[in-house]
Amino acid sequence: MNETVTIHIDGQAVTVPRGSTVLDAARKLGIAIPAMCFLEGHTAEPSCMVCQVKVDGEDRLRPSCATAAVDGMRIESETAEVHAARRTALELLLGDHLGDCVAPCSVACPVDLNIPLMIRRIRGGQPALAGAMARLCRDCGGRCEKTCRRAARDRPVAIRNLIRYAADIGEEPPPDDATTGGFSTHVGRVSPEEIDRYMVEANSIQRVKPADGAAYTDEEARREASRCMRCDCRAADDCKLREYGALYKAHTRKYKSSRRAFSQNRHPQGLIYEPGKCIVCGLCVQIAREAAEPLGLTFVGRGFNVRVGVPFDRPLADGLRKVAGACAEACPTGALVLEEDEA
Amino acid sequence: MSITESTTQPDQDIDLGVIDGFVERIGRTRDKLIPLLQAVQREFRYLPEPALLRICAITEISPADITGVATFYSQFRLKPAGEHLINVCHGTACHIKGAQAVTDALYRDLGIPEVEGAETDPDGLFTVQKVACIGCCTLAPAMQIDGITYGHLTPDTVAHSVHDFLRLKELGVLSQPEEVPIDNPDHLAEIRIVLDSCCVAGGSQKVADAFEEAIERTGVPAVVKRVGCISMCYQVPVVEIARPGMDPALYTRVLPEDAEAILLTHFRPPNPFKRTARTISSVLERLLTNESWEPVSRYSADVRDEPLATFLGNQTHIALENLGEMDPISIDEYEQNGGFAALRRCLLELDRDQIIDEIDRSGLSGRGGAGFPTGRKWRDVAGRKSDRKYVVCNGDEGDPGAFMDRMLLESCPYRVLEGIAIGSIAVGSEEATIYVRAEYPFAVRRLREAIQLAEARGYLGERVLGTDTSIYIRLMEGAGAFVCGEETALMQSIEGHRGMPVLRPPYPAEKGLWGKPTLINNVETFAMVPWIFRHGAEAFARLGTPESCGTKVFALAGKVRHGGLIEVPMGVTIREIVEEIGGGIADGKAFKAVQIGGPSGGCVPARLADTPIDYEDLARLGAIMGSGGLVVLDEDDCMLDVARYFLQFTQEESCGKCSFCRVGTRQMLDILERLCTGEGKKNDPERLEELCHMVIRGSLCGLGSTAPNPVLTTLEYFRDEYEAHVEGRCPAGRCKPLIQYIITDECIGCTRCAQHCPADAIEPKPYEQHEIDQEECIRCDACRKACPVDAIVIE
Ligand SMILES: Cc1cc2nc3c(=O)[nH]c(=O)nc-3n(C[C@H](O)[C@H](O)[C@H](O)COP(=O)(O)O)c2cc1C
Ligand code: SF4
Ligand code: SF4
Ligand code: SF4
Ligand code: SF4
Ligand code: FES
Ligand code: FES
Repeated sequence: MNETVTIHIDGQAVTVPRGSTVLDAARKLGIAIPAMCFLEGHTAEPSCMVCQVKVDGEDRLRPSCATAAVDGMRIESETAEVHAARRTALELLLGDHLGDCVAPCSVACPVDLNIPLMIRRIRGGQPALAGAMARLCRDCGGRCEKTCRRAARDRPVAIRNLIRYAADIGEEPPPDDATTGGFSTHVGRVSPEEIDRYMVEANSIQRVKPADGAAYTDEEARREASRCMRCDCRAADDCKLREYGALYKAHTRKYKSSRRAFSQNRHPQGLIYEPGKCIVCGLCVQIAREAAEPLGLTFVGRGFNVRVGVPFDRPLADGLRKVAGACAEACPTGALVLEEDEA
Repeated sequence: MSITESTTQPDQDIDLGVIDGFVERIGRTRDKLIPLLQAVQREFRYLPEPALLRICAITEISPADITGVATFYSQFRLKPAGEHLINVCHGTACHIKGAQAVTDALYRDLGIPEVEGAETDPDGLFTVQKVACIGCCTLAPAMQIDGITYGHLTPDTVAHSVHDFLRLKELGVLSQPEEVPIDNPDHLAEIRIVLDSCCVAGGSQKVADAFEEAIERTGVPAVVKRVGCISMCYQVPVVEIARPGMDPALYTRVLPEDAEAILLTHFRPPNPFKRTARTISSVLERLLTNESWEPVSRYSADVRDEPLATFLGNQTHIALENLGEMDPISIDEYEQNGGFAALRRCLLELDRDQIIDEIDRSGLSGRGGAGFPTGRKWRDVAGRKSDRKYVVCNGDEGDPGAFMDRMLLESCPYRVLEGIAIGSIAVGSEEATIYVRAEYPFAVRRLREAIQLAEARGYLGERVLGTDTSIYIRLMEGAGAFVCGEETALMQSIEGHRGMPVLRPPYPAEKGLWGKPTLINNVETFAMVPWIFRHGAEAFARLGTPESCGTKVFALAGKVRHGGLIEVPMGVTIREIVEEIGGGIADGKAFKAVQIGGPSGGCVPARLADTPIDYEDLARLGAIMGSGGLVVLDEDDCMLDVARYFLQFTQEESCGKCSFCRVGTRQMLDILERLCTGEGKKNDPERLEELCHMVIRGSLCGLGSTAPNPVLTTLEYFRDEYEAHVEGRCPAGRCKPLIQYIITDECIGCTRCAQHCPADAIEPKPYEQHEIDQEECIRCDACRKACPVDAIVIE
């Protein structure tokens, strides 16, 4: 028996070892088929359907990550039709997605200042870096504060005071991550119960007024900074949903109607799970199983309600004793992330 | 169950010894998970956490497996249930006859709070759950309380049924008698008391006794026989008189004192005999009516719609052959009717190729839905090299409007077993599994018994008929998941996993159960096989059309006059079925459409009723044969409501794996909900259509890729109704938020509407025109049904 097979993708021939998938073959050709639920080194259990291709002569599309390359196969990948299907897969995932890639304050900001990052730098003792960011502010009249989600709880974070405080410090040029922008999904208005869940990130103190009536002291700035709920996504820079969503020009709200409630689940060792961002790809479930975690993770429920959870509703920390980091690493979105050292 | 439910239980003392006993008896391996959970649930009526933890501790099964499986299958409950279970049928036929209104009324009457997930009354006496078709669609809407079936429910009478149940419970008559096969060596005429396990105190048993007495008294040559569950949905007790070579006669609502009169209309007594005073004609008049004159119509748990009599229309019985004439568990009777001759021939006279050739030539194709040629599938599996192969019989029967597989399993288990045995021989497998839907405990009991008896006679088990061939058949009970009808999901389920489909190829023929080549066929497909060997492939192929050979069983229900199981040659037209067999639409309404193929099928409008029913023609219309649900709709049915009903179903039943099905079907449902509540947007029909095509092409398995069919066909054939809903109108007067009940000046002031209204929306004003308080009205339709002069209309 022949040890290799040859297939054609978008008219280009490629020869791969027998047992390879269409996705492997495409990658060999340098065709970047998007893949979210499949990760090199793990078993393909196709679910996201973002990696679809069309096999010549078939009507339905197939996930390339789990379709074996068969000699003589002809595949369409980079055609308008296939792209439309991938876009729909992404739009459906985004339609059931709860998260802000970029915080509402940054979205409102005319220069896309990465406000929560700046605030974290103030809070985390890097005021100079924050200051370099703050100087980008064009003083638009405070659109950031008008959209600040914290207003739903008590009063907005005093972003402009913080900017004024920081802008006075240091002379460096703004860092690369000073601004954000681009593709972003949005949570929209939140209910009072949800706001309480956002608050786990934030200090519940009252808005801090500068004691001298003019400018924050270091201490005051740090306290005010601690009121920020950190609405932006921790995975904004390495989220596949965001990356492909941008690439395929997916409309984030095309299939948005009913939405889930925001919730967040924290692991004492710094793992954070946000079910609303999970695309139920199962990678974490697979990793936990392979690592023989005593409890591990599992799918809970079925249909639209299916979620990833710890058996018997136990805390996340009990479910992932060994491979929390690996799961966060594998997670294609911001659903499972490790709390970074605040910077 | 919903994921928000916490799995923590109130403190409870669980006897873990019981759990250990289950594990001893059932096993410790992964594939025993579902049977173990079923045993625990039977014991405690839910799954207490300590019991589950104990299972983890003493078996190979992991906590992740348990939580995953227990939350996947709808049979399992993680919260304690009430003392009695009320299963309200939400099958297709019951839906169109108002099951939702009945459920709402039940919730109100029992005082179950209207919050999501609530299903038990405050006293913990009743737990209400929705189930798919319970197989007596002619009683629709129907429900079961523990073992007892109540039919023809209405929102304002459903409470009577609950009281009736409580009364029976008080009387202590809720247990079911054992089944005993009866000898009839001389082939006498048979008096069949059809509802054997009748729960009514003084019901069938008294009638049977009365007949025996009457036979003795009159000397009529007949025996009394209790036939099994292929029973009549009419009023119990039901009696059938069967004489060799004559059409059977059927009597319903028979009283013990009628026995003699009935006998004498059919038999001339050998000895001089004086008739009782009662004239026979008056007895007959009363008995042959099917009117329900009591508020409660109650039946035993295993009540089923009957096969509609053969002389109605163009029917040919192959799968249903002799059903209702044979004692389901009497292996003798099966043999006398040609049973096991086919197996004998296949085993002793034919080689594998010849068997497969015969099936090939018969043109038999899969009856599970897709119609894949059975011969080709058998040949594929037979040709695979492997140390082990498996056969699976798919009895999951998920279509919420169909129940023919259950009927076959309950009423003629041997026919299905024989078919499976032949299939096993053909492909070279020794182990077969019949996967039976969770809701069919009665079928499981029958099958279990039948397998034992067949083994005892040497038709199954080790060294079948003395040859070197062994065939073991085992049973697996599903746990409530429509998607498990899909073959790859079904095999996942047998292996003890969540029923999540896997991408094909590889097909089961190559890599199936436990990774081995596996033949999977539907119950009805297997049931056709013995006939083909007894009558020849050609005889089978002659039936039906050149492309779709043979016959197909349908569960005919909905707005037709006669519902029930029918078996017709492929190629008969929809009109023939509706008009000739079904007797046309009931209540003089206009025939609107048929829904065929259940959640994967479509709606065919009345104007296309001359379409022949075969695989090709149905596919052309966007419907499918499916497993055989055929629900007839009339002018009162809203097509959007029908589409929404099925979408709701598939959406709940999706395994939740792939994005198109999990989110796509939900999106479609959202749009339909919007339209049915008057919140529709102008471009919703287009949007829906686009989404349908995307979901069809992008879904991983057949559930997702056929789920849009009910929507697409209604969009195609009933576009005007969609447009009307966009404008906020429901032409059929079905979508509650779009309609109002109004009392016209026809009102005679009889106050009946006010008495029936469960929401107190009508003030009783004798002799005056009544009025409905639109704020209070819950649009349950009770008043309109109660009004004697049709003065209540929908606007
Ligand atoms: C969602 C879904 C549900 C199904 N349900 C059933 C079922 O209830 N019974 C059945 O026999 N086949 C069902 N099938 C078809 C099976 O996958 C399979 O094709 C069939 O059992 C093969 O048997 P056959 O060739 O005899 O029809 C279903 C398929 C899908 C996609
Ligand atoms: S998970 Fe991805 S798509 Fe979602 S908010 Fe985070 S970055 Fe954006
Ligand atoms: S809470 Fe922080 S991140 Fe959220 S909007 Fe306000 S400032 Fe921005
Ligand atoms: S948490 Fe992340 S890795 Fe786990 S299933 Fe969800 S998206 Fe996949
Ligand atoms: S189509 Fe639906 S049922 Fe099938 S695999 Fe996808 S989610 Fe599961
Ligand atoms: S990467 Fe292939 S289906 Fe998700
Ligand atoms: S009994 Fe309810 S739909 Fe069949």
